[in-house]
Amino acid sequence: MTIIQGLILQTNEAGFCKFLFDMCSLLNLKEADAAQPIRHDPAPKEIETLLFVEDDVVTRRVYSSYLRQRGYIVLEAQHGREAFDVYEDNKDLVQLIVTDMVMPGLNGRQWVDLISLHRPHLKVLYISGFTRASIIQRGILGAETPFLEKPFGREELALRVRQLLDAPPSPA
Amino acid sequence: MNTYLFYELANGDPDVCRDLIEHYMTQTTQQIRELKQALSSDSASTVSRIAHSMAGASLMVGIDSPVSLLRKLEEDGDQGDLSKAASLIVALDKEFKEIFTSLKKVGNG
Repeated sequence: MTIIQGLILQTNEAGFCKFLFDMCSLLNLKEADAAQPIRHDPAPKEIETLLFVEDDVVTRRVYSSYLRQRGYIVLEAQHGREAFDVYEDNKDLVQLIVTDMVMPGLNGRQWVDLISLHRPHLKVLYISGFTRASIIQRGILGAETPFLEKPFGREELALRVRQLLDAPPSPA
Repeated sequence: MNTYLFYELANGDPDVCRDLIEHYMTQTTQQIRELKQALSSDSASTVSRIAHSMAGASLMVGIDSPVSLLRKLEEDGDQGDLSKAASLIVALDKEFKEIFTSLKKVGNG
């Protein structure tokens, strides 16, 4: 503030106007920059809404936050029953569900099966600490079902999300 | 143990990093308590589910040292075998105490 006051005192009237204009431009630019979400390719093409379901609070918070930075609207739920309620309240908006498999109460497959009765083409990405082989061997998911094994990175998740959103709906 | 993964996950923000560490420790402490309760009520499936969740949560933040114990607990629980569960939980308790000590240093650093 002292520096700015000093600059104003040392500037004539025309210079002062230019100084104010430059400062305003700079501030507006910074505000415009701050309002923009951090985006990298591949980025959302429009406003897209995801539902992220995960009982581990750190994973849910970190990955939801990252997907928001990429420009998605991310709804959160901490277990299957809550996910079912959040989905019911936002079913016209949700374009993709990212859900953990093993959670207290309804597991990922169970709660998704419930909503799939009414929306069979809904896109779902399952995440789990199980290996893909184990998930298939246990008959929990089919070999073609979108799945991401923990641990995975944020970029990896963002890429799978983008791929699934861009893919045509799978047959019921 | 790669404790710096918290810092990376927090995008280098020390406040967010401390917050994530706090969440992880609180959640893990609660889950260990739930593991003990599940063991005392002889619920092998609950022991298996909690151990599975704890392993996943730890892996996601780069903490892999307790994962083999958790996987053993998960597998045994899945088979309905809780004969070694008590000793595994004692070992986990000890392991997480060491992890928490390291994390507190990171959180205060």
